[in-house]
Amino acid sequence: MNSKVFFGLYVPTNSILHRLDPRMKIIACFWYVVIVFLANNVLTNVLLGLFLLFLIWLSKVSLKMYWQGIKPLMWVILLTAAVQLFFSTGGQPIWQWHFLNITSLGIIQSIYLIFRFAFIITISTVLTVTTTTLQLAAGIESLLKPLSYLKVPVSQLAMMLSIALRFIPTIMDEIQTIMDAQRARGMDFSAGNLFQRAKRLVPVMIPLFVSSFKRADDLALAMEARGYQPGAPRTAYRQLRWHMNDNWAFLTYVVLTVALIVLRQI
Amino acid sequence: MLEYYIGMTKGAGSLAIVSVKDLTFTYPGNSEPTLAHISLDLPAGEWITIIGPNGSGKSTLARLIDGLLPINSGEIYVDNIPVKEENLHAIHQRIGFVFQNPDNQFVGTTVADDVAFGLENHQVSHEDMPFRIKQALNDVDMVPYAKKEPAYLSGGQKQRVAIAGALSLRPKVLIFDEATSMLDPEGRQKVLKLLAHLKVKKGFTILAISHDPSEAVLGDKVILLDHSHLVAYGPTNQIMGDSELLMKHRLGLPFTTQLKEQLQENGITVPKEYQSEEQMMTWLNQQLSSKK
Amino acid sequence: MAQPAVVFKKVAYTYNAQTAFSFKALQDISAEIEKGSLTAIIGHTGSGKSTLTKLVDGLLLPDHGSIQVGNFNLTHESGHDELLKLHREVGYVFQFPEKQLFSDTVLQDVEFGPLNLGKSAKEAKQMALVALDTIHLPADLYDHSPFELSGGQMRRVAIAGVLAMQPQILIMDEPTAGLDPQGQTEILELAHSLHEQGTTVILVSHQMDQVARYADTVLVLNHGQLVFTGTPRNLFSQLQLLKQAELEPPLATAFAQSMADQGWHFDHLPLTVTDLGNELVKQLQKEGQHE
Repeated sequence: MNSKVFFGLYVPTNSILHRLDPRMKIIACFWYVVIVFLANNVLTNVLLGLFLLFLIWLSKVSLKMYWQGIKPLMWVILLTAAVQLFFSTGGQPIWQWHFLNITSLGIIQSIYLIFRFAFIITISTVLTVTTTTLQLAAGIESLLKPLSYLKVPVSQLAMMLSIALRFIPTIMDEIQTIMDAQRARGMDFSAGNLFQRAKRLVPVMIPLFVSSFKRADDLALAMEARGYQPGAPRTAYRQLRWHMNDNWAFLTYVVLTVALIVLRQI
Repeated sequence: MLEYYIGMTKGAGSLAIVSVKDLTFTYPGNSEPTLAHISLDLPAGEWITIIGPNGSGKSTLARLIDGLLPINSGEIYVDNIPVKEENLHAIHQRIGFVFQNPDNQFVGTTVADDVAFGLENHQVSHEDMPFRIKQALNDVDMVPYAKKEPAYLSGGQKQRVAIAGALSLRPKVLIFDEATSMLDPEGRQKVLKLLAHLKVKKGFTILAISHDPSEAVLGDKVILLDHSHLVAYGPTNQIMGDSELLMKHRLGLPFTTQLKEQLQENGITVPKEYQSEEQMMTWLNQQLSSKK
Repeated sequence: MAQPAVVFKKVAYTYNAQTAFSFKALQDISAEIEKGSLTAIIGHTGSGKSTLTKLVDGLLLPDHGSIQVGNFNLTHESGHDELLKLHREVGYVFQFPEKQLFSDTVLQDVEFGPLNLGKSAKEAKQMALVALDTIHLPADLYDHSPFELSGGQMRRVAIAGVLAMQPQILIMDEPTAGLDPQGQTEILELAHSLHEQGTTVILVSHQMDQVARYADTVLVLNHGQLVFTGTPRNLFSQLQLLKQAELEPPLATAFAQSMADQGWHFDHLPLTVTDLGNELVKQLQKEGQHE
C-alpha cells in the first residue's frame, strides 16, 4: 500500500497538453531547450517566460507543482549563477576582491543563467506532469525507430524500458519489505559512519539481487511461453496518433522560434 | 513402480491432445534424471492434475510439453505437432501457460497491455486486438480493470489476467503450474471456479500442477509423479481415495479421505473410492439409517 | 494473573496520510494478547493483519493510541533507540522470509540477528546453533550457502534467523504460504512447540484449518476494525460473523454444519477432522448398539 505505484510527477488533469501526441511533447521539450540558448536580451527572455506561463496555464496543473520541480535544484542553480557572477569578466567592474570580481555584464549574465535554468527545468516538468511514463516510453521508442536502420535494437530497448517501468513499483515494495525484515532482525540502518552504513547495504542488496534474478528468470520464461522472441517481428497494440492539435502545436513552435530570432536583433 | 494405469496410452493418438513418449530429461550438470521414461497421453477436453512431492519433476514435465526446455530423449506431441525448435511458435499458440508467481508473469504496464503482449508476439493485427483483449478479459471477468496498473490488483486478479493473456491466443491446452499456491482463499476459489468453467463450457484441456489435495480432486484424472517416475495415472476418484498411496508418496489427503481414514482406524468399513463431500454425506446418512 | 504480552489501546493507522492516496488500515483497535498464548490474527486480504503485526514490532508507529509490548509503550512519538531495543523482544517472520537470506553460509545468516544485538562472535554462534537445532536442519548443511537449500529448508533457516534472537514474542506472517503439505506441517509444529516452551506466538493466517488446529485465541479483523476476540471454538460457531468478515469456517466445521442441517446432532461443531471423525464414530457406533 505504501510505495506501490510509481507516480512520477504525472498529474491527471486531462488538459489539452495531456492529449497531445507524446512525440510532439518530447520534440517540443527539446526544441524549447534549444531555443532557450537563442535568448540574448530582455525581450527574448520575456517572450520565452510568457510562453512557458501560457503552457503552464494550458496544463491546468498548479504552479506549486512546478515550483516543486525547481526547488530541489535551487542550490545548483544559485551556485552556478554565483560562479558566473564572480568569475565573468567584461562590462563595468563594480566590485573586486583578490581574484573575485563582479562586473555589470556578470550580473546580467548570471540573471539570464538563472532564467535559463528555470526555463529548462520547468519545460521538462511540463512534459512529465502531462505525460504518463507509458506514453513517454512509447514516444521515445517511436522517435528512435529510425535508429533501427543502423542495426540498433530499438524494439528490444523499448521492451526493456517498458518492463523496467512496470517493475519499479514491485521492486520498491520489495526493498521496503527486505529493509523491514532486516530491521526486525535488529539491524540499525542509521548508526555509524559512512563506511559502516555502506556495509549495511549488503543484507539489503544481496536479497534484492537474488529475488530480482529469480524474477527475471520467471519473466523470461513467461514471455517465451507467450510467444516472445527477441528481434522477431511483432505487431503493436498501442499506436500513437498524430492529431490536428499536434500540427497546431508544431506551428506554434515555428512561430515562437521565428519571433525569437527577430527579437534577438533588437 | 507404476501402481495404476488407465487406457489412453498407445494407439489412442486421435483422442490425445498431448502425447508424451518415453521422455527422459536430465538438467545440464545433473547426474540424475529429473524425469525418467515418462509415457502418457492427455485426453482432449479433460482436466488432469499432476501431483507429487517437491522435486518430483512436475514443473519440468509441464515445461517440456510447452517446449520451454529442450527435450533430451523421447518425444512429445501437442495437437499432433512434434515439440521441436522449429514448431515452438505453433506450440506456444496451442498451449496457454500460467505460472506460480502472479507478479513475475505480468509483462504489460496495464491489464489490457498485458493481454496484448501475447497478441503482439503472435502478430495479431492492431485492428483485431481490442476485440480479442475484451473477449479474453470478459472470459475471466476482468473487463472493468482493463486500464488498471498491476500494482492495483490482488494476486488472484493478476492470475486471472494471466489466464486472459493465455485465452486471447485461443489455445487448446491450458497449463497451470501451481498457479493458485500464492493466492489467498478468495482469489484461489475464483481461479478454480474459472478453471471448471473453462473446461466445461469452453472445452479446454487443462493440465494443472498442484500439491493441494483439495485442488487435485476437482479434475477428471490425476497423474502422480515421484522421484522422476510416473507412479500412477488414473481417474481422480481412484487415486485421491487411496490414502495409502498418497501417504506413501508424502502427499496430503483430501478432506473426505482424511475423514474416512479416521473412521477406518475406529473399525468402520469405508468405501475405497474418493468421495466428494456430498457423496460422503449421502454415504454417512445411509450408514446411520441402515443401523437403525 | 500474568500481565498480557501485548496490549493495543485505541490504535489507529493510516497509510500515506494527508495525501490523495491515504488509506485507513486500522481504526480504534483495543485488544490484549495473552503471554504465552498462540494467537491467530485472521481476516480477508487488506483487512489490516500485517499492519497490526508491524505495529507490534515497531516497524510502523500508530497515528493514534498506543501499544504496550512488555515494558515498551509504543506511540507515534516512540524514538529510534527504543525501537532498536524492542526488536530484541519481538521476532518477526515475514511472509516468504527466505527472501531476506543473504550470507555465504547458513550459520552466518542465522548469526546476523544476535550480532546486531551486540553479542560476541562466540555467543552469536552459540545462539545460532541453538536456533538451527530447533528447526531440525541437518548439521552438515550449516556451512552450505542458504541458496542451495530446498524451498522448505530455506524457509526454516530464515525462521531460525529470527529465533536466534530468542524473542519473547514471535510474529509469523503466513509462514506456510507456498509450501507443500509436509513443509506446512513442519512449520506449524515448530510454531506449536515454541508456544509450548513459553514463547508468545502471533500467527497471521488465511487458512482456517490451521487456526482451528493450532491457535488458542483468535483476533478477527474486518476492514481495519477488530470484530472478534476469543477462542476458535467460539468463533467458528458464529457462522454469521464469519460471513460478514468474508471468512470460511474450517472444512470439518462446514461439513458438520451441513450434516447438522440433515438431522445429525453435534453438541459442539467440530473444528478439526479428528474431532469430526471421533464424533461420527461415536454416533455410528451408538446407533449400532441399539440393534
